[in-house]
Amino acid sequence: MSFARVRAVAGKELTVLWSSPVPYVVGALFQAVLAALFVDQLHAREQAVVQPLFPLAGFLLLLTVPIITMRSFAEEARTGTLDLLQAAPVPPSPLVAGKWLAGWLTTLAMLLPTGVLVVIVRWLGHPDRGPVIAGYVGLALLAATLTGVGVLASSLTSSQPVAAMVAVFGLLLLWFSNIGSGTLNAGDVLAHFSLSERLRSFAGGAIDTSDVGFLVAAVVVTLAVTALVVDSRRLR
Amino acid sequence: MRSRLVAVLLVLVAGVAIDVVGSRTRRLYDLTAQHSVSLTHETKSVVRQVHHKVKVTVFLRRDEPGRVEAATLLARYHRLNRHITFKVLDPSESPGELHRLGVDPLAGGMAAVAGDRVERAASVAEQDVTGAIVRLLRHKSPTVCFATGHGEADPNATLPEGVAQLADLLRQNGYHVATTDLLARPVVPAACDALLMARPTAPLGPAAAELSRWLAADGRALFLLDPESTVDVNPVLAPYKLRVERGIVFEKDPGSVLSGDPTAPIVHTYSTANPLVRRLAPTYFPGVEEVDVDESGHVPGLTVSRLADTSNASFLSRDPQRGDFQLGRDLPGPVTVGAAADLSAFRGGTVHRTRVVAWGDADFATNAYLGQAGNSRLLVQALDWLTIDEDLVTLSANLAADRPISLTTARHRESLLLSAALVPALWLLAGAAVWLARRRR
Amino acid sequence: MISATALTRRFGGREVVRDVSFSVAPGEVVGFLGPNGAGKTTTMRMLLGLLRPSGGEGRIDGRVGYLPEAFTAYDAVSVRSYLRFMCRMKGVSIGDVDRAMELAGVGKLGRRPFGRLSKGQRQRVGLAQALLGRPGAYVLDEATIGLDPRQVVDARGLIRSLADDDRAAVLVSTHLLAEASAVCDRVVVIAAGRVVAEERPGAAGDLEARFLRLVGEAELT
Repeated sequence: MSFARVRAVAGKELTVLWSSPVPYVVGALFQAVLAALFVDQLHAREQAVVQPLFPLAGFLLLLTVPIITMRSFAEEARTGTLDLLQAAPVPPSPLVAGKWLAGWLTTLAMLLPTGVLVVIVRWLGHPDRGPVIAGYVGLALLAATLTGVGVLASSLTSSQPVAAMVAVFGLLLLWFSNIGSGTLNAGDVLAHFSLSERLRSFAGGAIDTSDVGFLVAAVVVTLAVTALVVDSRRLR
Repeated sequence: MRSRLVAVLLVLVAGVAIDVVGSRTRRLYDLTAQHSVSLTHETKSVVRQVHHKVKVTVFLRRDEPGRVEAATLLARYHRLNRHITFKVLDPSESPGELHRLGVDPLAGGMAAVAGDRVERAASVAEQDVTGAIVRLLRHKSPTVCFATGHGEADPNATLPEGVAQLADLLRQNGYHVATTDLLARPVVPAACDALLMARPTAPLGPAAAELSRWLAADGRALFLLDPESTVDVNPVLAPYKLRVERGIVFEKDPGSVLSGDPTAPIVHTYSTANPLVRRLAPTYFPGVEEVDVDESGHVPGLTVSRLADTSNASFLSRDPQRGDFQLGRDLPGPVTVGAAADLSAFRGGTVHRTRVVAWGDADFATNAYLGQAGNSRLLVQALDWLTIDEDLVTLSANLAADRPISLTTARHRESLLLSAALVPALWLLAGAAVWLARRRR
Repeated sequence: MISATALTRRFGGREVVRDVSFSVAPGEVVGFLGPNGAGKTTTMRMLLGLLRPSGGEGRIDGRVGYLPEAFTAYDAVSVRSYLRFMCRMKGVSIGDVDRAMELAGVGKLGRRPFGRLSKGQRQRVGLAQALLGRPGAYVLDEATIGLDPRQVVDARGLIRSLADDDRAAVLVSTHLLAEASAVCDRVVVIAAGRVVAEERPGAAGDLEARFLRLVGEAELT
């Protein structure tokens, strides 16, 4: 897999994405809702803590990332531009990697303005720096996984709304899988896959290598499956 | 095509491998200032000693805010040691489990089960969980020997001045209770894990030397003294920088006495970090003298802590007949009525440790007063602290620092305006600018 | 060299392409002629590896320049950026972009986003994209659709030169008889999924009569 191709795909995707209103509208909504919820939390806790920011942001990303990624494969499959790339011929892996990278970078860019919330907490008090770092590392990794799932959903259909809905539904299942059993307990298979559980250590201010491993593995697996889907859809 | 499928399968396997390796070789990098998301070193050393299944069941209502925190805390134990499993139940939904584990349905709390042994705690902080595990880990029940022969309170006496209820209480908390007559034979039996001497009234004689020797040889003792007794235990306590100051405490703070008796002070708060008095309810001491801590000089390995102080308005009166403070004769408050000493040394590859707790009152432990306020809890925690293996003692949890903010209405509005309105507006504006620029091309 | 050997494709039991065989040699322009729905696009997609044949084999040696029937690119991306992107995708030097743009007649449209081009301009961008890297084979599906008469003539000249000057194998699908007779060395006529004739185009009138008869026969059976 040539990195030049990945970069070219990602660059093209970024141009297409950021020329559309999607990242601006979604980003503004994301920031507005997150800020309102977080400032409310600050008000309720009266503590200079950033920790509540991350579960809130993580959950909102669940709803926004699929909108960022929905067009990646679905739209190219619908218009036929994917055919041209595959006849070039471009193997699926650089396509998948490039689209994922563009989606991830876009999501990271949408997280940038949330920094103003950290600034506000620093203005009001003296927050601990550790949780800020760990929390953003966690969000970045979570965003990578969410983007992977979003791109996978987009590869399954040539309809953008269907892709977004499939991704949101799947991500909500993953997010809440820890409460599926009704009791909170250890060794739960469902909890192992729960994205909210995976974000918890990060949000608390710690980096747990097993969570890093899980999220990275989730990216690798979703992208591999996407590559398989793209390839099999080519040769129907 | 086939080779591509193989490649994708390989990547799948690699993904699973990353996850498995990640969770097997997990490391936690705690970036918080107080390491508040990590278990303490003490807990870690305890958890590492768990080699059999320990099931922790926590009872917290669904709407209780501590529920998720409890699950998070227990997940850390589970991560550290897979033998420890947990579940969090709603007490109103699981009355059967509550009953089976013997947890108070109103207070809730937790129960830790190993085999057929159950240990309980009323709350679910790190100290509680670790404490319960420690108690489960203890293979044999420690023995508390009540000293007799010098007029001490009798662990078999059910009269108000006896301490039979204390003996029962200790049995309920997993202790063996024995008596040892130090007058008949001034030797503390080897079977005693801790010695409890409650209000000796006759001079100790040769028993004093035996007590000093026994304490020096890693002994653990709880002395409950009393203003009414004239027995001098100071020679025994001296090496641990504890000293009984004779007299009686008069409490002048009306909020710190019961039914207007100034000689029966209530201790409301405990400022020390010593686990002995952690989360202890107020305690009540009818007739108490001072246990002073000698703060001069430094003895290597010795840690002494004042456990309970009476209020600033109290004083130690040298003359029990006189209830008013006399400068030069009496000692001004706050008066320390209980103190603990820990003398530890590392010799020959093992930790040698002596622990002594001295209290200026014995009445609070008698049948008449044991049920009052937090008295029974204080005694159990004192013996726990004395007998628990040092490695297993959790001193305190790593708690995040308090970081208060004052979010005034104006600041609240400004914060919202900036983050929820201005920044999103700028973001949209950037989008509009891009759109305009594209139209010009 | 482009070759189809007994290519067959079924969609849900219905045979859309049946036993299609032909080949295009280097330096040759072959017209792929048939009415709408005859199976031209399906056959081409099988040749390009975009569709798995139910039977038979399609092969193209070396790189291929492909112009799909309904060519489209990315509205937000400028013509030059798009062509550079496609160079990277095809793994050819981006130095070829200017030549392809000149040849396809979009030399002045480099900075224009694709979304703001006319139908004819878009088709020519598609042609430019196919030219990138001087491939040894071309598959052009309705190459001149949407072009004005002047541009049609230019495009035909370009197609001819690909075979004559670059010695490429060119397969051009069309439903226009005139186009076939103007540029093709040979014509493969397909109707109802089967090859019904393969011959050199003579006079356009002659071809038209034969074509109509062949198609009529095929659709009756």
